[in-house]
Amino acid sequence: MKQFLSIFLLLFCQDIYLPVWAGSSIILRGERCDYLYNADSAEVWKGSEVFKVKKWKKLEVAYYFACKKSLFRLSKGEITCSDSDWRVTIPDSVLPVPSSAASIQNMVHDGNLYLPIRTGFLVLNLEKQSKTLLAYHWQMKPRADAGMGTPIPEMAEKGGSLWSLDSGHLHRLETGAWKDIMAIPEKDLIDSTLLTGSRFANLILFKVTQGDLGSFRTRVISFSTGSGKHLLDKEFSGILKNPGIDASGKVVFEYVKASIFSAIMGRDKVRLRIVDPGSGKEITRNFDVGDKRRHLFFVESGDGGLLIIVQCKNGDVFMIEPFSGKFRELKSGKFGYDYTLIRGIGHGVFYNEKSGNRIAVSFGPGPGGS
Amino acid sequence: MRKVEIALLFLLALVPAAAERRLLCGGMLKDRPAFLIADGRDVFLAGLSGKELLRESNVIAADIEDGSCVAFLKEDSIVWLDEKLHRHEVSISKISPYLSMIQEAAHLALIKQGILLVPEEIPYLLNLESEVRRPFSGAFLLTEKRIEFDGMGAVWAVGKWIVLRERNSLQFIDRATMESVVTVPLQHSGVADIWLEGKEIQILLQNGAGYRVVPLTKTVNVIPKDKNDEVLIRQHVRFWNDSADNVVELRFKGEGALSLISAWKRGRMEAEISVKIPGREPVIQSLSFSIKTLGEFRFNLRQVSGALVLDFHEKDFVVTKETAKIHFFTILEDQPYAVAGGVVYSWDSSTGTVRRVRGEKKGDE
Repeated sequence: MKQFLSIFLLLFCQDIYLPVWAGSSIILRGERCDYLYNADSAEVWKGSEVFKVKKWKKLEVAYYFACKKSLFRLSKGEITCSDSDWRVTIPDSVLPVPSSAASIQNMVHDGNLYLPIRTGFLVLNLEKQSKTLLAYHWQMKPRADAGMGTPIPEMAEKGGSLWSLDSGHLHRLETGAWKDIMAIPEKDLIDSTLLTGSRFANLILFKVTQGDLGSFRTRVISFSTGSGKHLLDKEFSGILKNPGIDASGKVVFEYVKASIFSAIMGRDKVRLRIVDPGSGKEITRNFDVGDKRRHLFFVESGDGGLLIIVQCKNGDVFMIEPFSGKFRELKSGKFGYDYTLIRGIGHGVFYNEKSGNRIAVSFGPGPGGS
Repeated sequence: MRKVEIALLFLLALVPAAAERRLLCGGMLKDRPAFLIADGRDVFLAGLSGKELLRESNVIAADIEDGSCVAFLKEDSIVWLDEKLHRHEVSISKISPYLSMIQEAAHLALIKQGILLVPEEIPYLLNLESEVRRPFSGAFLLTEKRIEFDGMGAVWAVGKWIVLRERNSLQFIDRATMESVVTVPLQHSGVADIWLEGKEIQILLQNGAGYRVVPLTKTVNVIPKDKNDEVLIRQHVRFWNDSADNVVELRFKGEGALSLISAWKRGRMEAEISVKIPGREPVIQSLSFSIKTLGEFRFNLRQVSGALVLDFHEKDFVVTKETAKIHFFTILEDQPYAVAGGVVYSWDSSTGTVRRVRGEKKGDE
């Protein structure tokens, strides 16, 4: 039973945020790319790109996040930047005081930091270094074990259109006020998430009917980010996990059939389902990776497209271009369970947390990688 | 007649109805059941008769713990009452902004056998005898989707030691000095149970592994997971007025894929709880709970005032022992109740009083 529950939880919770850090390094897991900050060498890796940071030779107890080629730190109610004198005082941040170096990269979207404070959200444009305040109504819920819990809304912004998913409602910020776009139907709902590109905002609902193993399905509801117009509402069968989007907001899922046969025979396959909310078209693609697939990473290509990196149990690594269907294998090298991918734009670095080894892997055009 | 109606309406507007009161929690004070009841932003302490013993205003949260008293959290201070109900106050320089967002008085775990949690921006634990402080960041948790205030949920008072969960480790603290003596890793698992056997502190993790720790000599023995032991959780429980520990075990019913699929099709999971009382046959009770929220399946198991509470999403199961008989109670979600001295009480919102609940008896001696 415990195994069953573990498998089930793994299926749905693979993207759980874990602030990983080892010694003087910390991984900042982002929406589209990751950063690896090493305080000893004062270096930050963004995929295979590396940039130096001038200050902070010590990994202090604080929250860390990055944007472009700048590293930021939130400590004692103040945000400071590693390579400039810019600093902002944060009044009443509701984040708990950290007990070790921790990442809040998941609160950075498109160059903005959405920081929860007592009166709402502080939105900091990290490039322009401006500061605005969004009013927000917090939903605190007492727990039966004498604790208190508050969900942090998902925020997504592209091209000046800000969306949030909070307490069972999808909202859009219009002329300074939150407009309730739709209530999330609770029936059969397991989880929901919001993915926004420059053209499309997508609400993804994972569902299962109680009492029916084969009833796993995913509903995609898409809107135009410009006009807010409703574009698409489709439901797909099977377990559609790891949703990702390209820069415009086209959705890509990994599709798994909910059957024991498929679980055993199909574990060395990657099946993708691609949805274009603009045309309403849907494409399915299958790829054979030769061994049990371990991890699937979405990497943004340099031109706003989407690349998928598949890491197998035997250490083989493949690159898939989901929209063109191109499929490449690394010419040499294997990256086993002890390596994780630090994603950059169009490339990445396989990183071993224990040894500190970093091996750059390029996924540029042309057959194979390097 | 019209004037009487208007006068009655006026009086009703002035006097808050009993229905607006809420039961927060219960516990034993001076060997008598006592309850904390919220009345708007006031919280008062009341006995079983409903008689008000003490009232505090502008309360954010309150807590009661058997024998070790009562705590009221306010914006600028935390008031606590000792065993003799003497009032003490600790000032708070700046309360955590997260807690200051609470609109209505809540029950939060703040006090435990001689230790008080002071939730300043950097929360600290205060030894109520020696007044020695220790910063405690484990009171808060931040995950990708939630901010959680765990309070004393991550603190175990075990004899002269305090065990704290901080991130992925357990710290053993000398209660006198409030200094950390030993640290053991949590193996990315939750804590199922912590109890004292002689000088040894026994730790059972949710993953089935555990530790035996003697903090005085800094001895740590790792107990590997027993792969043949299918018990989901095993808890040592000392019920109210017990002189020895009972062992409570929880296991899911049925083995193998077919029974799992069958459980899934029914939409309900079956479990079995057995209470092993020293020198007697185990008392067994079946439990059934919905798995519609399997995506975030979890349950919580805790000891409250001489009873054991198994908290599933939709309901709580409370296990008590009275006159040598084990009693089981099922309490549905959002139904207010409290446990004091191993007795379960429910809240009658129409009269604003607590009343005793009768459970299902098992295991005659």
